[in-house]
Amino acid sequence: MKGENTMRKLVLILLGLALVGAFAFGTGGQAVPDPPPSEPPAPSVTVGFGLKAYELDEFEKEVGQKLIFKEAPILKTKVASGEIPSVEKRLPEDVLVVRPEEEIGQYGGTWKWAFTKERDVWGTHWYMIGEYMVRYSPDFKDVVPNVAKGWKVSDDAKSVTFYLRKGMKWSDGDPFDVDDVMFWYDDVLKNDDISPTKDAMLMIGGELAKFEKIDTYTFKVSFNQPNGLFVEELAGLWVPAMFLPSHYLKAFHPTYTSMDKIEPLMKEKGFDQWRDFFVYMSGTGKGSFRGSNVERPQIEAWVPAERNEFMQKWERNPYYWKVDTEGNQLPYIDNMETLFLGSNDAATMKAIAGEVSNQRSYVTSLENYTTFMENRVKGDYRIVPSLDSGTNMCTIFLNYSHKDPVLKELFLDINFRIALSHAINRDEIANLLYKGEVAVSQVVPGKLTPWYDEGLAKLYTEFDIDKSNKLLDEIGLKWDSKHEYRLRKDGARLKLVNLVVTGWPTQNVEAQELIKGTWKKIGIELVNKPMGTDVWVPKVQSTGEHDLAAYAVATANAGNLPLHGQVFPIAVHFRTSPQWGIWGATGGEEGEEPPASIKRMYDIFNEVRNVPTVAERNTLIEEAFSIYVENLWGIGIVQDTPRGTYRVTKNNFRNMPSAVSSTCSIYHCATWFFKN
Amino acid sequence: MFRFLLRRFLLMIPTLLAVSFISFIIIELPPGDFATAYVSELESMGQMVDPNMIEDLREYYGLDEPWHAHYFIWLRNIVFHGDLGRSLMFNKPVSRIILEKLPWSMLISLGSFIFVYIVAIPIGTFSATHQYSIRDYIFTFIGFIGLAIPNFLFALILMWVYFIYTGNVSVGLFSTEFMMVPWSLARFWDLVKHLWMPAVVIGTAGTCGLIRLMRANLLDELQKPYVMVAKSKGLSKKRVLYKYPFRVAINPAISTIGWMLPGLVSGELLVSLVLGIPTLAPMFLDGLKNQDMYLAGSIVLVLSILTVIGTLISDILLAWVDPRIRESV
Repeated sequence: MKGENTMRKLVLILLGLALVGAFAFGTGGQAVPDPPPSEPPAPSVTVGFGLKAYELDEFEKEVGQKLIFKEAPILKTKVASGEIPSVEKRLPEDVLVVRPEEEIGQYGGTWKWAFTKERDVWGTHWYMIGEYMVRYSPDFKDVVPNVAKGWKVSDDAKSVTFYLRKGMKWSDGDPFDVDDVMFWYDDVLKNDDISPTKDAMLMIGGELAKFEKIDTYTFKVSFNQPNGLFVEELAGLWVPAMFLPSHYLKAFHPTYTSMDKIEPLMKEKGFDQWRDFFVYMSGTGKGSFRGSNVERPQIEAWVPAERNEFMQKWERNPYYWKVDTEGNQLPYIDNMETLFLGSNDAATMKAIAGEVSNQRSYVTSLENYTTFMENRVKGDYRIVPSLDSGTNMCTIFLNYSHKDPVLKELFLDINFRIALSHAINRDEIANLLYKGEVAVSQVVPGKLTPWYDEGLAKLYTEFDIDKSNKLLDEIGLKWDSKHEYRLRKDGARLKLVNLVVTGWPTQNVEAQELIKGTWKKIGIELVNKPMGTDVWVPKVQSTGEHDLAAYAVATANAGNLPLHGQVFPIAVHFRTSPQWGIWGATGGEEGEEPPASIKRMYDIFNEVRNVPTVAERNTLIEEAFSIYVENLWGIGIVQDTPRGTYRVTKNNFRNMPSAVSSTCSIYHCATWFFKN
Repeated sequence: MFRFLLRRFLLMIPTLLAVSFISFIIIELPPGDFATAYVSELESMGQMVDPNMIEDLREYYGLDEPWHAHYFIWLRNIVFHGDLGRSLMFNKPVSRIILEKLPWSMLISLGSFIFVYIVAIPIGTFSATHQYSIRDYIFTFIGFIGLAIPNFLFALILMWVYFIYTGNVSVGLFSTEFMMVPWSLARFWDLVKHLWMPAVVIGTAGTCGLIRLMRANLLDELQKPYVMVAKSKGLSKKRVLYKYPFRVAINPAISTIGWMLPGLVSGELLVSLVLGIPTLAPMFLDGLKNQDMYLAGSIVLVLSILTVIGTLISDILLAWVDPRIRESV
C-alpha cells in the first residue's frame, strides 16, 4: 500500500519534470517559420522622403509668413525659473527649419537603447545624433547645409569658404563660431601629439589643408591643388571633427593654460599622460568618442547627462538650433537612456520584449531576424530595414599575376571569367545562406548611391550551365576521357585552389562550397582552403602562387564615394590584383603592368578629383564600374543585406523613413517622436 | 602555525607570477593586436575605416613593441607603483574599471555561495537521514541535473522561460528606474529580485557536490556506535542528529570553501555574460576580444589573487581544525 503510494508520487514528479524540460527546450528551439512579413520585399522598398531642411529666410519666403518659435514644456518651466533664456534668445538667427518625414511631432518621451558596453555610446554619436558641417540629402543626391549654413567653392576649386550660423550656441549657451573651428585646427589637428596622422581628406597633394578665419562666422579652407570633392567627402561618414568647444577646452590645453594648473585636473580624472587626458576631455582623436566626457558642451540634440556603470542618461539640448515647420524647437523627444547590458543576448532580449525604442547595433543580425519577426506584435515594434552596405560578399578574385603561364593566360581570357560567373547559382546562395535577404549582384556601388545600375548589377549573374560549357568549349578546354573534368592546355586537369577568408563574411566558406558543387558541372575542380585574413592577406598580396581568392569588396555605401583602393588600382589592397595595385601606387615603377581597361580606371581615379561638376564626376564613376563589371575584374556574388542590419523600432516611434541607411545623421533624428 | 602561514604566503608569489606570465602570453598569442582588433570590429559593424587608422593607433599606444616588453612594463608598474596600467579600449586606468566592477562580481559569487550552502546542507542532511527513500533519489537527481547542464545554457533557458511567463526580461542587476538612484530599501529589494537568477544558475552547479559530500559524511557518522547509544538512552532523534553527527559531518563541507571559490568565480564570468550583468565578465571578454592586454591581464591577475586567497583561507581553516596538518608542515 505504502509502496504503491510512493510509486505514484514518483511517476507524477517525473512527469512534471519531463514537462518542464520539454517546455524549456521546446520554446528555446521553436523555429516555426513566421508567415511572410507584411513589409515590402527588400530590394523594391520605396523610401518616401517628406523630410527636408530649409534655411529660415528661404522657408519664410516660401510660406509667406514669419515663424513663431515654441519650445518643449520642460524648457518652459526652466525659462520661467530663470535657469535659461527664452527660446528666441536661445535659437540662432539662422535657424535650420526641418520638415519632418511624416508629421509635426509631440514633445516628450524617452528614447531607450540597449547597448552592451559604455564604449558603444560612440556609435550613437557617429551614426545617429552627431552633427556635422554638411550632410547628404536623404536621397543622397545632394549635399545640404547642416552646421554650416552654406559654402562657396572657389573657381579654381582650390578653396572652400564656409558660413556658420549667426547666434548658434553650444549646449552651455556659449556662442558657436569660427574660433571653435580654428581651435580644432590650430591646437588639435596641427598638434602631432593628439593627431599623429591627419585625415586623408585634408591631406591633398601631400600637404595639410589651410584653415583661415575670415570673420566670426566665416572661414576658408584652402588646398595646394584643386579639390572639388571636398564638400562631398565632408558629407560622408568618416569626417574630421572640424570644431570643438574652445571656451571649455582651453582650460585643458597647454597653449592657453599652464601645465601646473592642468596636472591636478589630470590626476583627479586618473590620467598621467596629457594627450590621453585631452583626448578624453575633448572627445576627439583615436580611441575616444564625442560623448565620452559628459561635461563637454555639445551641439547635438541631446547631451550626455549622468552616467554610471549601468546606464547613460541624456537630456535635451536647450540650445539646439533646429526647428520644425511650425516653429517648434527640436528635438521632440525629451531624454535618452542607454543601458550597458554587458552582452548581446541580454540586449537582444530587451529589444524582443519591446523595451528598446529604436536601435540597430548589437541586437540586430540576420541570425536573430526570425526571432524578431516572431515577437513583433507582442513587443509592439516594427522592423525598419537598412538599405546600404555597398559591400559585395563572397566575391571571387582570379590571380592575374599567376606564376603558371597556362593559368595566367586562361584567367586573362574574359570568356573564361564569364563562364565561371554563369556557373554560380547565386539564388541558391542567397536563399540558403542569407534567408533570401540579400541581392544577387556583381561588384557595384550600393543601391542608395547615385551610381547604382541594376543592369550592371545583374550582368552575367544568371545561372546557366549550358552557356558556361559552351564558352569553355569555345576557349578550347577539352574534357578528360571520362567526361568528368576539363583539361588545361598542357593536358593537366583544370584544378583551381581558392583561398577563402573565414570569419567575415560569415557565409563565405559555405558559399564557396556551393560554388564548388556547381563548377563541377562545367568540369572545373575547385579546392577551397579556408583561412583567416591574417594569413590570407600576405598570401594573396605577396606570393603569386594561389589561383583564386574569395573575400568581400567594399564599393560605396550611400554617403561614401567609392574612391578607394579596394576597387581602384591605386594600392596593394586592390582586391582584383595586388600587383596592379602596386603598379598604380608606385606610378608604374613597381608591380605588374595592368591591361588597358585597368589603366583607364587608374586614370579615372585621378581625373575625378579635378572635374568641376557633380554630373561629370558621376559619369566618370559610372564608367569605372562599367569597366570593372563588364570585365568581371572581380566575380561578384551577393550584395546589400537590408535585413542583415535592420532597426528594431517601436510602432509609435514615428517620423523615421521606412528604410534608412546606416548614416542616420542625415535624417534629422531630432524630428523623430513618440506618437500618443 | 605561523611558519605554516608564512610558507603558504610565500608560495603565493611564484604562483601569481606564473599565472600572470602565462595568461599574458595567451592574451598576446593571437595574431594582430589591439589596433587590428579595433579596426576589424568596426568593419564587422559595416563601417568604412580609414586605412591609416591602424598605423595611427599602433603609434599612439606603442603597440609595435614585442609582448615581453609590454609584460615587463606592466609588471614593473604593478610592483613599484601599484599601477595596473591603462585600458586601451576605455582610455581609463585599469584599476578604476576593476574597482567599479569587482564588487558586483563578488556580490554574485557570494550570493551563489549562500545559495549553495542554504540548499545543499539541508538536502544533504535529509538525504542521509532518509537514505534510499524516493525523496533521496529525487533530490540527488535534481542535483545531478544541475551539475550536468552547462551554466550558460541554464541561464539562457531560465531567462527565456521567465520572459515567456512574465513578459519581463530579467537582465542586469537593477531595473532601469533603480539604476541611477542612491541606495534605499526599494533599490536593495530590486537588486535581490535580479540577483536570484544568477545565484541560482551558478549555485545549482555547486550544490550537487556539496549534497553528496554532506550525505556521505553524515551517513558515516550515523552508523557509529555512539549514535546508537545516544538513541538507546532515549534522546530525541533531532537532538541526536544535530548535537553530534551533524557537527562532525559539516566540518569537511566548510573546508571545501577554498576550492569552491574558483568554480564560483569562473561560473560567475559565464553567467554574467549571458544575463548581461555588468561585472568583470563582459570587461574581461571585451578585453580579450580586443586584445587590450593590460585590462585582460589585470583581470586574470585579480581573479587569480582571489582564488589563491580562497585556497589560503581553506588551508588555514583545515590547519586550524586538524592538528595533523599543522604538525606535518
